[in-house]
Amino acid sequence: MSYPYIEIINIHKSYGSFEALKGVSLEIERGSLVTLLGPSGCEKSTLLRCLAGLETVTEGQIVLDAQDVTGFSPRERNIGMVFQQYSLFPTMTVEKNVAFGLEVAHVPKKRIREQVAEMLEIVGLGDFARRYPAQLSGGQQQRAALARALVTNPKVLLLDEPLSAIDAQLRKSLQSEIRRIQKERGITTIFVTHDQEEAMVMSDRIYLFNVGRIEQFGTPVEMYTHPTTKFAASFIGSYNILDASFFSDRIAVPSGCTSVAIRPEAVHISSVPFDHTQGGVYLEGVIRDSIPHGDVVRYSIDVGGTELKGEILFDNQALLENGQAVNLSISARDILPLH
Amino acid sequence: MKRRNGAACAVLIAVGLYLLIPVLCTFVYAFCTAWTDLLPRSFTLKFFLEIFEDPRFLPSIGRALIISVIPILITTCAVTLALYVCTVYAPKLERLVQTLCMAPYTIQGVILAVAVLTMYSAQTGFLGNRIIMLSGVYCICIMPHIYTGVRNSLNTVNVPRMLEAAEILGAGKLYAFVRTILPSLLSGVVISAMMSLAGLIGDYVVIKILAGSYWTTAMVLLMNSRSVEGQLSSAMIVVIFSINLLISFAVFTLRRHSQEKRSRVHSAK
Repeated sequence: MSYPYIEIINIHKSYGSFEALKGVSLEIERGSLVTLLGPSGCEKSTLLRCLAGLETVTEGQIVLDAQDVTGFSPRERNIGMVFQQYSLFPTMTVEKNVAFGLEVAHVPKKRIREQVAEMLEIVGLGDFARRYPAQLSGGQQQRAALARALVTNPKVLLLDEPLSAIDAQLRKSLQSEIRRIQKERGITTIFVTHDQEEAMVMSDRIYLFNVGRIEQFGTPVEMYTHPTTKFAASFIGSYNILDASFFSDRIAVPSGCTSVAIRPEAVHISSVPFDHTQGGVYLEGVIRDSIPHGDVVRYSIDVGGTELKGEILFDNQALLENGQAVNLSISARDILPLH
Repeated sequence: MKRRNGAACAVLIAVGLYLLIPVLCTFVYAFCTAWTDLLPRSFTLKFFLEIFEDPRFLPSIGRALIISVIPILITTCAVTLALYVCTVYAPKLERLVQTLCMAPYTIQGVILAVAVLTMYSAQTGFLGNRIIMLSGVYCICIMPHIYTGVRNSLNTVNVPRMLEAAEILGAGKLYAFVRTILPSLLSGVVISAMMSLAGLIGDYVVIKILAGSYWTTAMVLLMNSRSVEGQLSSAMIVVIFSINLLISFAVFTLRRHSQEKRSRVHSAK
């Protein structure tokens, strides 16, 4: 049976009286890409910095490749890291930036030149070796920072919101590129982001953080289809979060459950009544608003004073109008109890 | 808008002339045989020749440079190290360092020189040496300039993040600071050093109090020659001013040359 490549065991991190991390534990398999997801201020970057050795933990253990590295300095952990602002050295060329770690490790000059050239080709910066960071675009700087982190063959790659300063279109292509490089090299990677869509696209596994704790974890599909708490449902996707009493006379709601969550695409909308023999919940409402979101249209529906969001694929001929009376159908299995 | 620009230009020209005319007159006077009327009678280079034939002059220039450059080097190293420690280990101490470095602005050089002389003149050995006292006073006098230059340069770099990035790559803190931060400080330090150099080369009062006849610099020689001949003093001023200008020009040309080299590398690609 294989052991987890990275084990974070009951990590507590305090700054004076403020407890940032409250007993965080997680395991990461070798070669996987795990995302730490959460809103700003939820201390996901703090955990990353503890893993890198840039912050000392107040309590707990960090085990990397079966070795306890809790007390190790950053230099001793053999970890690569890309920061949010890239942190390229401004007075060094791209080539020199990427070579820095190898020079510190006293790698022979010829070998440094070869490895740097190879890495720059991998990240697509072969023609930019002699440029300075200020002469690069945001995307190029990010790739240079990635090359610098990878060239030393670290055991783990840490990425602290590396794409947050990049425009949306470029971000998508860089997401694919990072994922490609990560898979090709088989490097265990931890990615921090506040963008749930980014997390869904890139990750093997997601850990959702909320005020210094792990709220929920799982694969992207599990996280999206089965949020277990109100916070998870409100952060991931565009869930409808309703009081459990709204459905208590229609379906059996587990005891202790105060809220339920429904995905917008699970709310089927029709201008004609549904066949009630299918099972599930059937409601009537009025369209209050419709917002196109690319290939889907999101409707805001008033159901007896309660707002429900529903989504259907965009079809120019079947658009529903504001004020139109509609029928709704929701399968019982799509009504998710929250704790 | 045009009227405002015209008025601004007029003010600038007036101020410029007010500042430049005495310098130009000194320059012209250094080349005159005599200037008692509206225009000089004739021109000559004899006063310049006299200066360079004086065996005391070139050594005095050398002494001025030595006593200026050494305090600049000492203060730059001390301030840079202090700011390194503050930035990396003790950010809370930075306020204290700033206060200590900027405090000399409030102390007249004369007061400082007299105080140092009173305190140390009776000492034998290292601390009682007049040149050591002079160097120490100069280090204090230029500290605000050097601190400002280093601090402003540090503000353009995210020092903690740079150091973290270097540490993750395996570098120690001091190595990381030297290789990744110090090169960024160069511009600011050079400008502050040039300003300090100009001030120290031009000092007379402090050096007269502390070193007097022990260390005759160009300014001391200049003040001593005032009573001899006006044109001679003017010629010395021109030479000292030109040396200052040459040093500044050389330094800034080297810096521009290295920046242009970077741009050429980029353009070639």
